[in-house]
Amino acid sequence: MSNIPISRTPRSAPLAVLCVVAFVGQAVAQSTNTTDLGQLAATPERAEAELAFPSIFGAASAVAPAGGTGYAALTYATPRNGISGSDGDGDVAAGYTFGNPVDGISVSLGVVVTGLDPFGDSGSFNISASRLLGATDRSATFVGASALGLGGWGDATADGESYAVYVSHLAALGAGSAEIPLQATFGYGNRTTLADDGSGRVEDGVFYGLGAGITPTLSISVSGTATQMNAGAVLRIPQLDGISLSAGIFDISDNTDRQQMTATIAYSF
Amino acid sequence: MTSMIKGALLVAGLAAGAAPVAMAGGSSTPNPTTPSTTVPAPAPQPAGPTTFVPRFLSIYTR
Repeated sequence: MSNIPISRTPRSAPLAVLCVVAFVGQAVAQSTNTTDLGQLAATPERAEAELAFPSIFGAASAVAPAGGTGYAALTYATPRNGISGSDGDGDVAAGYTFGNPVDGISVSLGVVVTGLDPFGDSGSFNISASRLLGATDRSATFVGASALGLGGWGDATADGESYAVYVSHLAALGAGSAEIPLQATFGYGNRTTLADDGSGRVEDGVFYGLGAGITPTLSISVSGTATQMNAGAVLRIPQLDGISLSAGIFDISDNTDRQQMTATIAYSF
Repeated sequence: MTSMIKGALLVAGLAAGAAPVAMAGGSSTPNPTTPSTTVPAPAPQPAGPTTFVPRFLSIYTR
């Protein structure tokens, strides 16, 4: 896609949009709680306790998908590459998972088409694997590894391949009769950290993330690297089976001069 | 567990993956810390556990 400069996006705009998404999410969640609880009320305990899965925006998670499942997703990001003044851009991603991380290894294969105009002129493949290290009634720990940018074509070839390893931990925090699902992830990759000099240079380094389910349909999270912090929210739509929405901001403080807002709609099958 | 519960957990699992999908290495995103496209798609067992972690892990025991 072309990288046509347009008017500079106000720095407060992404945060405002994220806040709107969060408030809308809460409103939707509240308006649908009755339905949710009705659906979930196999036991009274479930009706009181089940909050959204604690997704993490901006960092990889080793919590594996169930085998035999797939997804397709459409993402809009602005400005392109986080460069102020650039236009927005979109990505399309799809993937499929097989295997079981409890008994063996879960493997996910995916493809990302980067750039929608012209569609398909750039993209790459990715693969990730994960395994459950251990679990108790209160927590579970997964380990994972992934490779991105494989077999790239078009502009994506310039990004090269990247690799990462990470550990993710699930737990729950007691809150009265309910429990708040939490997820933490920590990892290291060869292309994880944007330089803070505004050059856009990418180096190796660590990354982290923390997410929490705060309503039956909404989770919020923060993540980051040594040079930036990200924040996001994920909302599922009970009325639309398999559909979820997410939105977030990369580099909240614009420390790397690559601040960017993204929004995604995804379908799972 | 009813089919409605199953559906709800399926969507919850999708939500788990939506954010990573958003930054799955696309050229339009600035942050390369996006290795995986994790999309847990739960398929819980009937009469499954009632607390978060065991309930989530039940997606792997079809």
